[in-house]
Amino acid sequence: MGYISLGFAVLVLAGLLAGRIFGQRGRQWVLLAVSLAFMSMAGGQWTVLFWFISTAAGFLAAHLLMPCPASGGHGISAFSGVGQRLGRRRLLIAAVAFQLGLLAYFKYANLPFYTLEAWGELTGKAYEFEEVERISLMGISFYTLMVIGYDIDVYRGETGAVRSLPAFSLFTGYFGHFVQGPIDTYQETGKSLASPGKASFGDLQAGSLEILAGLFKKLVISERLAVVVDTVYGDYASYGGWYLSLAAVAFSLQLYTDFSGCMDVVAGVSKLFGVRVAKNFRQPFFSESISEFWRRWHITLGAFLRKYVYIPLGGNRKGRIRKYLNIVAVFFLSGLWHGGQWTFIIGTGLLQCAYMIAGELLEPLFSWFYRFTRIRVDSAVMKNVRRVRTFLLVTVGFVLFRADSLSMAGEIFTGMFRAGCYPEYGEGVFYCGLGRADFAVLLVSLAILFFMSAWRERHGEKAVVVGEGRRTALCFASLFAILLFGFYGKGYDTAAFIYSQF
Amino acid sequence: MRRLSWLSDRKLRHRYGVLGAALAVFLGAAWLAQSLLVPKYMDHVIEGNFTEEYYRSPLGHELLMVGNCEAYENISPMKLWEDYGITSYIRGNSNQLIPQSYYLLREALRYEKPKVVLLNIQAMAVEGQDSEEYNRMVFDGMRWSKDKWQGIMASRMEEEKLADYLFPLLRYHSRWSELSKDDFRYAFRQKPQKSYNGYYLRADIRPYTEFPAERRRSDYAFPEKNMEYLERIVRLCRENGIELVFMKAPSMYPVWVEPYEEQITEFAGREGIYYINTLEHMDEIGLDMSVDTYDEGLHLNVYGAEKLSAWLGRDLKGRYGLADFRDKEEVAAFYNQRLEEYRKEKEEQKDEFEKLGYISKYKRQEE
Repeated sequence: MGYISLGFAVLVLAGLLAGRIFGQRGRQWVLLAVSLAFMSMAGGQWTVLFWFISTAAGFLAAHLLMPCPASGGHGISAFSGVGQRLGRRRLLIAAVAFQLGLLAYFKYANLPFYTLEAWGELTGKAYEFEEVERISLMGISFYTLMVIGYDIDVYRGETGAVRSLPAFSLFTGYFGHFVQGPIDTYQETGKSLASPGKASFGDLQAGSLEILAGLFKKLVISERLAVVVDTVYGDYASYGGWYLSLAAVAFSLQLYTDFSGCMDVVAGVSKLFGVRVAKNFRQPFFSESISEFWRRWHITLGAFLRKYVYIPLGGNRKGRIRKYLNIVAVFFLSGLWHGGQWTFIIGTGLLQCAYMIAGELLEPLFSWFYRFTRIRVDSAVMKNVRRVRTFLLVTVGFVLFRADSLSMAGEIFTGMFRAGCYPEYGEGVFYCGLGRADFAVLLVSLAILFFMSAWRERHGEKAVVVGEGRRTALCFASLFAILLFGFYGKGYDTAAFIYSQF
Repeated sequence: MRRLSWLSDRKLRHRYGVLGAALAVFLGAAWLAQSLLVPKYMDHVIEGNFTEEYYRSPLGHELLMVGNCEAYENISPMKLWEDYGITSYIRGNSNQLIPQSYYLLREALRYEKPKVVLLNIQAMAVEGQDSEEYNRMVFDGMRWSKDKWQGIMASRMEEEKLADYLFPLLRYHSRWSELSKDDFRYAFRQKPQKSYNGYYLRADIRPYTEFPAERRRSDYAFPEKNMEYLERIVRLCRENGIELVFMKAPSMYPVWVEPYEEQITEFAGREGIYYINTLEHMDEIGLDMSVDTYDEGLHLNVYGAEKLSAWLGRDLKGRYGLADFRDKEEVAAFYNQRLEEYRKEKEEQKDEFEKLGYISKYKRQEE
C-alpha cells in the first residue's frame, strides 16, 4: 500500500470518520491506529517490529537523558537519577549509537562492497562479492533521525521527555511522515500529533487542494517525465548528445515533482486530521546558489544535519578550513543517508559541497568580474542566470543520483557530448518514449507548475484562488483533470515514489 | 431540528449548495468522460462487444453455448436457425476461462432456461489469463450482479483492481489521446451488433499449415481450479434440469493432446455427460482445412463453421429434441433479420477477400 492507492484513501477516510466519532480526546488514538494499520500493510511485520524497537529505545533513552529533576526535568520518577549515575553523555552516545547501528546494518551493510566496486570501476579492476541479504525496512531512515533528534533535544533540555509511549510512538510512526519524511521534530509535529485540532472547512479545503497538487505533480508530471528518463537512460549507450542532456533535465524535474508531490499529499492529508507537518520544499529551482538550493530542497534533512552535525562540529565559527571540513562532513552524511552507494554519496553529497566550497573560494574573482564588466548583480536577468546555473549544477549531481554506477554516470556525461541518436527509432523528441499528446500535456503541466511555484515565490502561502466557492470548484476541476490526464492504472506503478526506497 | 440547523445559516447553506453543485458537475463530467473513453470495439477487435450483445437477443434460447474463441468462431447460430430453426446463442469471449464461463452461464440462467448447454472444453487446459484485456472484454459488457462480482474475483490477474471495474474511467482514462469517431458516435448511442448471436463471422481463407511443435509439459493434468468450476457447471445444469454437452471444436492449435482427451472422456463418462470431440469427425462433418479456416487451422471460417453447425445441429436436435421455431412469428422476425444481415456480411467479406486477398477491417489486427 502506498500513498497513492485506493487502500490508503479508504484508510484515511475511515480515520477521518473515526476521528469525528471519537472526538478530540480519541483523535490521537485514531491516528495511532491508522498509522499502525498503514505501517503493517505497507511495510509488513518486520517494519513494525524494528520501528517499535527503535521507538521504545528512544523513549527509554529520553527518560534516562532527562536533566536532573532538581534542575527542572520531567522524567518518569522511576528513571530519575539513573541517567545521572550512569553519565548522561555516555548514555546519549549509547542511545545514538544504538539507533545508528540499526540503520547502518539495514542500510549500509553492503557499503564496503560498493566502495570496492566503485574503486574497481575507477581502476579498471573487477571485484566480485555477494551482497549481504537483509530485510527491507520501510521508513527506517526517517524515524531513526527523528528519534535521534528527539533524544538529543531531551539531553540538551530543549524539550521534556514524553510521558506516554503511545504518544511518542505516534510521533515516530505517524503515517504522514513514516515513508518519505519530512523528518519532523517532536517540538513541532509531535505536539501537534499529541493534540490534533479539529479541522475546519477551510482546513479540509486547503488539505484537499494540497493533496490534489501533490497528485498533479506525481501522476501528471513526474510519471510522464519518468517515461522519458527511463527510455533514454535505459539505453544510454545508444542515445547520444542532447537526448542525454534532455533526460538529465527531465530527471531533475521528475525527482522534484515525485518527492515534493509526495510531501504535498502527506501535508494535505495531515491537514485533514488537524496535524501540521514540517515543510520539506520551498521552490528549490528558484535558488540562486547551491547553498540556497539545499536550504530549499529536503529542508528537514538539511535542518537536521545543520543542527546535529554542522553546528556541534563548530559550524563556521572555527575558521575557514574547519568550516569547509564541516561542510564536507554534512554533505557526505547527506549523500550517505540517501543510500550506501557512491553514486548517492558523490551525486547529492561530495559534488554539492565541492560546488559550495568552490563558489566561496571563487567569490572574490566573481566580484571583481562583476565590477569590471559593470554587470548589475541584482538585476532580474542575472537572478535568472544564477537560477539556471544552479539548476544545471544540481542536475549534474542528479545524473549520478540516477545512475546505477559511477561508470554509467561517466558514460552518460561523455555521451552528452557525442552526436547522434538512436537511428532505429528515429530522430526527435518524440522518440524518447512519449507521444505528441502526452508531450503536450507535459509541457502545459510544467507551465502550470512553474506558475504555481512563481506565485509561491512571490506571494508565499497566499492562495492563488480565493473564495470558498471558487476553491471548492477548483478542487473538483483539479480532481477531474488528474483523473483524465494522470499516468496511473494498468501499466503504471504509482505506488513507487523514488524517495520511499531511502 | 438540530441536524437541519445549517439550513438556517446562510453561509452554511451557501457552502453546501456550492459543494453539492460542484459534486454534481464533477460526477456528470466523469460520466460523460467515461462514456466517451470506454472502448467501443467497432473497428478490428469486435470481440469486446460480445458479452453485452447477449442482452439484446430475444431470450428463450433452446441451446446456449459457452466457451472461448473455439466456441464463438466455430459454430454459427445463424446456420442452426436456418437449417433447423434452433434458437441458440454463444456466450463466448477471447480466452474465456472456465470460471468465467461458469459465471456467464450462471448469469444467463437467471434470464432463461435453455434445454441444452454446450461447453467447449478447450479452456480446461488453460492455466490462467494471459492478458488483462481479455478479462476486460469478458466483464466490461456484463451487467452488474453477484455473478459479475464473483466472476471478476475468480479470474482477475494480480495487477487488476476491482475499482477499475466499478469505475471504468480509472482503467480507460488514458485513451483520451486515441479517441476515434466511433468513440464519439457511440458514446451515448446503441452500437450496431457485431456478432451473430455471439458468432464471429470471418469469410476469408488461409489454409491450414503445420504449426510449430508445442513445448512438452511435465504435467498435463487440468488445473484444479478448472476442475472445480467444471464440476460447478455440471451441478448448475443438473439443478436447472439442463442437458450439458461437452465439445472439443475442430481447431488444430493449440494441440489437444491425448492426456487432455483422456481426462475429459473419463470425467464425462463418470458424470454421464455427452462429449463430442469434433477432431475425430472431421471427414464426417466435411471439413477441408485448406478452405474452411481463416487462420491456418486455429479457427474455422464461416464456411467451416456452417459445416460444423449443420452436423452439430442435426446431432443435438435428434438427441435432445430441440424445437423448430421458424414458424413462431415473433422469434422468426428477429432471427430472419439477423440471418439476412449475416448473409449480407458474408457476401461482402467474400467479395472483398476475392478482390483484395484479405478483409481490410481485420488486417490491422492480424498485422
